[in-house]
Amino acid sequence: MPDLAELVDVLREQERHAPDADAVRRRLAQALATERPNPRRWLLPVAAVVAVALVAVGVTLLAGGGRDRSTPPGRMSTAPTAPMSTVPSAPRPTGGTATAVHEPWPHPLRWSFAVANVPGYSIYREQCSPEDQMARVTVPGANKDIGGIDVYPDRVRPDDLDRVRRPQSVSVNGQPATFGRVGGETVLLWQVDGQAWAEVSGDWPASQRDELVRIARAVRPADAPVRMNLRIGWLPAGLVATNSTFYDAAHTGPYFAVEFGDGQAGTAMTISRGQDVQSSQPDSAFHRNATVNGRPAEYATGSFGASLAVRYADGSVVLVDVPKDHAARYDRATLFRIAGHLTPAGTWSRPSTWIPSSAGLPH
Amino acid sequence: MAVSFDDFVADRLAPVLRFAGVLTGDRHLAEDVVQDVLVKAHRSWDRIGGLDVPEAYVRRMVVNEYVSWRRKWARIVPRADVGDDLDRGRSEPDHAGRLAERADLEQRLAILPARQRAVLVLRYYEQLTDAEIADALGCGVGTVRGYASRGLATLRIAAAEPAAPGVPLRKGDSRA
Repeated sequence: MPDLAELVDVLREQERHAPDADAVRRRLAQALATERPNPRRWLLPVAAVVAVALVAVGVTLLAGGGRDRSTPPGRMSTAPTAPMSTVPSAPRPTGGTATAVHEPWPHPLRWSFAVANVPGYSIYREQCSPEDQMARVTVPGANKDIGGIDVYPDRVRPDDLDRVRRPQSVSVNGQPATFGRVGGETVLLWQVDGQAWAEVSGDWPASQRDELVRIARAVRPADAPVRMNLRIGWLPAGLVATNSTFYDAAHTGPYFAVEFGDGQAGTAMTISRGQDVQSSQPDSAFHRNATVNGRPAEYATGSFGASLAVRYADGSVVLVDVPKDHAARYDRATLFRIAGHLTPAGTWSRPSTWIPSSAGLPH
Repeated sequence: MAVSFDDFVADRLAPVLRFAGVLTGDRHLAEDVVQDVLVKAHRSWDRIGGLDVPEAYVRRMVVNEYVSWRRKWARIVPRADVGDDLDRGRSEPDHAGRLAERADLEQRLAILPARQRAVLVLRYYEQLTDAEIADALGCGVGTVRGYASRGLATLRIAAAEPAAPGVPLRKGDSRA
């Protein structure tokens, strides 16, 4: 059985296969060349910026106000005429360097697409966020995923459209599509029924274009709630669901997490339920120091924030987690009140028994 | 004294790339991630270049770029046959068995979702504390522990390390 020392050894071994610094320097120089204004022609970009700003102001005024949808860096861009959401602003979970506050979709925990059965593949919807919705594509019996499907909000144009190398024009359900390579992956981009952009990407060889087209043809518009394995009975005012994640791993079992924002940057709270894998790891054993509705619980605070884990008799654990930037707003009593109003929904290990998000979130 | 962007690239690109290579386990992905990060860093270099350790900030950007790289995000499907392979390797104490075990570990590592892999790399390769990892990833330590536990479970690693970085509470933290 491997140990941590071997893991570190494997990681260090990967240092020997370092990326090509010269290649990155060349590509970086090309990328920056398009960004750095030529000092001798400074008037041109300045004039362009002013013109764009004036047009943007005009569009905003004509549209009756609103703000641009923030986009994740380098991944997708918003069309200039993106619709103005009337939903109260709530944050998309962001990384440590990102501070942008994203608007959620009108129904952040509803799928906007479905995937029909594709022989030879196992596909399930995994992540539902304001930025995109993602499904995982696996080959049954294989040791790894082969790819994924991203479906973007309406009118959000994937940046990958501009990054495709050697693009080929193909057709998906009668819609024009672009096939090619981005980075080390093969991609296919199209608009589902002429509406939202979608992308199939993964480790297929470029010669297997038809495989991507076959998967793309199975993607259809839909409107269905995310399924949850817990029912949240109470939340502090102002928390809005911004993201959900569903994993289905053979060794750890299904896992569901929903993230909430409260108008500040970053995730304000994550509530999840999954197998009690932590207790199987000696370095993160469950330390009971409280009870919630008679169940063993562990409450912890520190420089990281605060967390409350409640262990259920069926082997699952519900975790309420608040990062440090938000911990001041959600004290111990609040976390216990949330946990006290949480109830398991369905059998944690059988997603078919889970409940729709409309029943799992407080009204 | 502020470091210029060009000097940073000249001096620190190689170690940043090495880190990205370990973080991603994919040299091509590492190149893409670092390039995107440096383009973004260039836009804010007036601020980043004035930091005490610009490289630390850039590495953090690399981590965030990697975990938000959706196509590589959350690809966890540790299949039963991987376990079967590992079990076979475990039963062989000879050199071939160890090599098989090592190959299985590498295979499992390659299929970890980005956040789990990032947590393990930051914890055991970069030697960061869970609080530091949580800070870098913009999540709570409980979430970090969850990622670590799931990652280690997928790798089937016995994490019997005394005072490992994954201990739920660390010095300065408290259970209330």
